[in-house]
Amino acid sequence: MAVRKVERSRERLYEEALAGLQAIVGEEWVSNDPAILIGYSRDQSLEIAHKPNLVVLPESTEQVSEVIRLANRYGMAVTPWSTGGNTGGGCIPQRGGILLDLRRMDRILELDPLNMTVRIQPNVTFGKCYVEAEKHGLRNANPSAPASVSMLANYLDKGVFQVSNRYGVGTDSILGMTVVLADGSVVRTGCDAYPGVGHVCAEGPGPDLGGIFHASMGIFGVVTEMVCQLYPIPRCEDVQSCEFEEEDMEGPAAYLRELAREDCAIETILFGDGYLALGVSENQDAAEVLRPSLPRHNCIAFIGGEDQEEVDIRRRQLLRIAARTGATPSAEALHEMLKDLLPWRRVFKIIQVTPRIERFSGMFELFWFNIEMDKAGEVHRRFTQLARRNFKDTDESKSELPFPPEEVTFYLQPLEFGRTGMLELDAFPNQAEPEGVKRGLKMAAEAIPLILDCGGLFDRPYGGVNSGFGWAQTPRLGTYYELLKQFKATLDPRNIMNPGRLALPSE
Amino acid sequence: MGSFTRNQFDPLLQVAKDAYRCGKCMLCKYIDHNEMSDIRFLNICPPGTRYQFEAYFASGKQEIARGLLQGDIDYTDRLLHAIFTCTLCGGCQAVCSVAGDKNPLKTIVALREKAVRDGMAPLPGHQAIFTSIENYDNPWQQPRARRDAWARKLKVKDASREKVETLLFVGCTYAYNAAAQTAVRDLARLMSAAGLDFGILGREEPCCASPILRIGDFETFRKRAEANLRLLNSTGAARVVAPCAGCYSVLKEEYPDFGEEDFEVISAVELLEELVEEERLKPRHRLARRVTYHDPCHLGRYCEVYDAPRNLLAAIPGLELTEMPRRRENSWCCGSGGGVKTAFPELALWAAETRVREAESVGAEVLASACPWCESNLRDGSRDRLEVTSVLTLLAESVLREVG
Repeated sequence: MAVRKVERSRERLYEEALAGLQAIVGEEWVSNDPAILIGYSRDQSLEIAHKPNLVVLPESTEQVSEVIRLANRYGMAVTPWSTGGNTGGGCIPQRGGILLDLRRMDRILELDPLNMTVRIQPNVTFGKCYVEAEKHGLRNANPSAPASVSMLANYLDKGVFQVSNRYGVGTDSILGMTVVLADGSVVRTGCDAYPGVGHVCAEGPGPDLGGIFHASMGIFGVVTEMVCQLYPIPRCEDVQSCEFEEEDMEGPAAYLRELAREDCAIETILFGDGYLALGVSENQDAAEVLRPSLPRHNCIAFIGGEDQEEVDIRRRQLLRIAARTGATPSAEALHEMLKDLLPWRRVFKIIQVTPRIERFSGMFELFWFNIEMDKAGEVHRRFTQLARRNFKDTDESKSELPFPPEEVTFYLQPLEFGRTGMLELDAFPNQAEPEGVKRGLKMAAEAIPLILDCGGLFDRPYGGVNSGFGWAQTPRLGTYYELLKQFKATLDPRNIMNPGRLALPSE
Repeated sequence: MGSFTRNQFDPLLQVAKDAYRCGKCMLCKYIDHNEMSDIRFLNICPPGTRYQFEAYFASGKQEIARGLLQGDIDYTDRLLHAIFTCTLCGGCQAVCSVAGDKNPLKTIVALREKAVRDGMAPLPGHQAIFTSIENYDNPWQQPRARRDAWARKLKVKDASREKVETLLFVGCTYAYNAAAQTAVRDLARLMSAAGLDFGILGREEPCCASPILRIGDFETFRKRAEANLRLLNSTGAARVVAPCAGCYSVLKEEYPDFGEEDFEVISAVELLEELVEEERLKPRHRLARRVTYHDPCHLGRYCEVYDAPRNLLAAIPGLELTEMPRRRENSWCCGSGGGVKTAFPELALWAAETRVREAESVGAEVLASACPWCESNLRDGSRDRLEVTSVLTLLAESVLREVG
């Protein structure tokens, strides 16, 4: 009886909140219909599906602020959603409440070609921004995500790009933000903190408050505007790939580190044969035919410059590094294939591998982390052994996976001029079968401490059920973590902002 | 033992795999990024762009399918609205197929089929179409006796009485819609000028049943398709020419599931392209107009006929063909397909107005298409701002008008 009473009272609260939200954004842009709510129950991750209780589509910072004030009054969880492509369960409203769909905020508010900046709203996709930027000879970063995802959310979540060695990760490109806090107040950071100063201050003023929102997955507030850097498109571009046949990653990682240190390429990435085959082929079948002809490790560099002369100079520099580190320049046939990815916006074609291979009988087990380049080989080797141990004797006949279950696919991107790199290692348990799921969970439980032991750092410590990288490293963070918890308690005392998303045990 | 038919199962079971595997990459909302050129025209999904909630996009419909399969959700008016405001344009499918092997369009069709089987559809707004096709064999509530009225002053053979080489399958909309009849008359005149041995079934011509299929009544469609196939085979024609994109796509893509076709199916624009190439038709009269071409979904994305209409326009002297930002596989739907024009006319009009603005953005004076549904809806959306016409009419103007 008591339970029913509580449920009735919750229902009444949601009905009241529905009316309140309608008053803020208009009836058309709010719903509590299950058919509408279920659309927001999953994202790119394999997190457990969960519906919100209400969904609201505001069109301005002011409306977002009013919605959050209302949520605070009712103590309802708020899950922000820009384009919904999060890979860590960040968009799934695990505790119900209000889903804040920011889709209507889709404008490029300002593009400053002179200072190479752009001011965007949450639902400006990478695709949309690059169409505008290209008109001015500029580009935004191309992410490890499709062109359909939110540029603002990806930058905020420390997205790693093919250009990251030269220009940094997503958060390095942020110059200023407008953030609605958990009490509905609005804070402006970086260059936006002092109105009218232009783009003079990416950090601060003073201690950088903007940093608290980086990779925070909306637990401290909702970013409704962002000013970001754009980069020049080189007048002349070409591609140079070098390869390694051996299984170990030490050689390719050393080559990439040198390449990154000398900064002779604009975009640099190491693809294993599996991903590269998928990326350059039209479909799965074609990829399977192509793959045996590809080298195991393919270090791809897009080099650019003012003219062909500059490109040739950089190519010679790159080939000297290759000779020094034992890399073999790839065959002309592979270069012809890779040239198809120029101009640079076509690199998205490779990135579309992600949705292509996703959820073949479940999703691949995906681990991405930062690690020093000279440690990449060891973690790759140990991870591969672990995958083989866990997935040997798997019944492949029931699997539709693009790779054998004991296979490990990967890509590695150098960061910070080779000081570190972003390594993604993917395993392929057959999640269509209970046995495969069991093995997959065991693999994850063993892989996370292995990666940490090898010196890996999960710099985006998602706190999801399945992608719980963050929980495992929490004990090692000590006071850092205690401080984060205190920030959370101060900024969001009712814990309404995307609760449970960042691995904060007190939530 | 009976045969294994589609009817025995919940249609959603056939698409369950896709519903569960949708990777939420969100590519289904936009045109291919390689084709993006104008930020005003990046979206590909009319209902999603209009209503914005996730459920109105293909990615959200995969969740609706999953929810219904798991019993997480049940039918509501909003659910039916989300399913049936889709124009079945296939834009989501065109983009999704680049990245993966999933078929969101199939999921949406299965959702409709299930709704019909569960007695939740046809919606009241669709009922008139069903009743009309049942009573009059056309969706326009027009008497069968008037079906061949458009051809009265033309000397066209009656293919129900004499054998012809080429059967012109006119389609209900060309037969009854006064504005559309101009184009089919032009087509008949062009076929005559080229010396083709052709005829029509006149009052005996049945509805192709495309509207019934698109609304989700697969069983009724199957019965009609089987009967139509028997009738068409009985004419002995070697070729069936379908000027209506809706008719063409079911004749070409769906009917073969129900039996062998003893004839080749060809669209009017493909036939005319052939006749121009063979110089049996010569576009001579100059048409100094800036024209843009709207790809009908059933001709383009459904049947991959993209070049023929463009080649016809390019063959007309003086005509300047200009392309819209969204074209070919990435075309924006006019908004009238999938039963939307009938049940949700406001959405259809909004989509058409959006398309007209896109045509205006490239400085077009004329918006041409090759489907009576598209032309009619775009005409509504244009409100006389642009001339909306058929490729057939433009070609006829150039070929048949006296030079001078």
